[in-house]
Amino acid sequence: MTFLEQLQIFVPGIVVALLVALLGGMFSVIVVMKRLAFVGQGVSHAAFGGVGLAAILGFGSTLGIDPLARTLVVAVFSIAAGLMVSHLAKRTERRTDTAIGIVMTASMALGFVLYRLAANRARGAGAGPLPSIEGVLFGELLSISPAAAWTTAGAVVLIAAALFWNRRAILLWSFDEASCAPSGLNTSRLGMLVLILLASTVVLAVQVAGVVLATAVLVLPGATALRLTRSLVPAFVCSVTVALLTIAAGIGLSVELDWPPGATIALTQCGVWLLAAFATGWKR
Amino acid sequence: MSVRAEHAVEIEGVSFAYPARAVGEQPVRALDRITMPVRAGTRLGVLGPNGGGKSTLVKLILGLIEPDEGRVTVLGLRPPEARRRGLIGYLPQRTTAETDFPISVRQAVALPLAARSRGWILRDRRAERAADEALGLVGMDGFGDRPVGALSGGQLQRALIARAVVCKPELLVLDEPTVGVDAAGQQRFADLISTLHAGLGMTIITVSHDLRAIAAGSDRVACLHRSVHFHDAPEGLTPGILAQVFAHDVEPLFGRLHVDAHAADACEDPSHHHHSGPRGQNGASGREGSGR
Repeated sequence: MTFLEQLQIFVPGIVVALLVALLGGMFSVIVVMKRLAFVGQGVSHAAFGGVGLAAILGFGSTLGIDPLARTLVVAVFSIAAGLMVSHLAKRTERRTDTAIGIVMTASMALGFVLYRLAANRARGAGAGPLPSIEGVLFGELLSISPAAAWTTAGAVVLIAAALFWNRRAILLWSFDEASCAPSGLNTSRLGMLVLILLASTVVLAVQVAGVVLATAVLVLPGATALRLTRSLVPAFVCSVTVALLTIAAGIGLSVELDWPPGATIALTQCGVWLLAAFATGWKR
Repeated sequence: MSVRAEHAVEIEGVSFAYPARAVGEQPVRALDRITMPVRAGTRLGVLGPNGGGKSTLVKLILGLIEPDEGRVTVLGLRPPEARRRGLIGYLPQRTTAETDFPISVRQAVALPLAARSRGWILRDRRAERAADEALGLVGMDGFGDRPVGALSGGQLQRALIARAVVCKPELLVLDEPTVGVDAAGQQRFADLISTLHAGLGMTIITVSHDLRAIAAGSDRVACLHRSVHFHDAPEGLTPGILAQVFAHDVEPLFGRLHVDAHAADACEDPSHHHHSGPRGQNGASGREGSGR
């Protein structure tokens, strides 16, 4: 296999990772300031339920249109899980962390049961292999197809446009949610919009870092940027820059050291955050 | 902002009850057939004990809740519509703003106005200019570029007032604006509100359990305890009374404030006796708290 052919295998994964860095970096400042990290964590774990559901619906294999259909099912499932969290937190349990704990474990448990059922059925029928659990949990950057890269690019454009178009309302919502309604904004619609955009971003990040590590992309760039700068535009620029550089460096390191890419990216981001935290005196 | 009505706020026969908290309990009646016209351009103080329905009244005026009976209009519009048009400015009792947000004072003040502008406008200079203007009105010229987190408590409150008036509202609602502020701070606040009133000519409704907060800057006083009683301030709040107010507790003054005995009865409330104590500072308790 020539170098060019080798590179071609990596390209879709690298493109997806950089696109996720761009979007995650933008979103990360909001996630950190509005304390959405655990919501992101919950939604990313809930994505596992979507993987199981896709498998039992017959979109289990790693071939043909199955990966795309699976992404769609996972996206719908994750957004539904996010809305469920929001509903439980507002109406039923009144505590967001409890609501996340319920939805997250329910989705993961359901996902695993469905996955096993689908795996047994596939073995009986002699069908193609399901995606590995390890890949779902920790990311499978190198198995990303060109079609998935194109889909991700389209989704990133849509999500980034929605974020950009509504940025001032989202900023007011993050800065002072209670002041949104008196200012004439529809608070619940705004919250719903952010939740849907966040869940969609998480689904894209799951491709890179898996359901367990996806939150790294949404928390660490913002947390790093907010240590280094205290004003709005620099915070977003810094967060996106940190996200792009750490993801690029993480992929490079994973190739160099032959470490799994998702985990290496997460470790790189943690390392950069550590440096920033030390450099800014550790305490806040 | 072209809306001009004789009355800034009209509240006609409005009742509101919060749903019962538990099975078998009665719904909690917060307001009972309130009628309250507020003439445009006046400064109305709404005085009442904790749990007297003040927060409910504010929510009704802002259109955050709908009355069970009766009608509320703000500048001739339904309150949510007035809110959407930026006709209402609101200063909450306690700010919920994230003060460590990486945002400048100008950006924070401009946000309610900027949030209305089209997304493709990269930099909303109109909102920035309005923010600077509003900061000037509250005596915060030159603070625009500072981070919000660097402001003192008093400066932050002035910035939040600037934010409340950045859309140039026709009506400004102040909810317990001077809770936990000393007498000198209250006077400064009253002066600031008078300056704003003179500068922008808006209608101002101040809601408080504290007579001192209301006495300094109101043309009229309404006493609210589930039902409402109006008093024109000139004869009610003489300098002699004010001197006493600043020296003593509010309670002995209630009789004098209320022309008729019926009104005085309506204002009496056990929670009122320890007015200047910590309990009075707690804000919502009992009835009001249940509605949240």
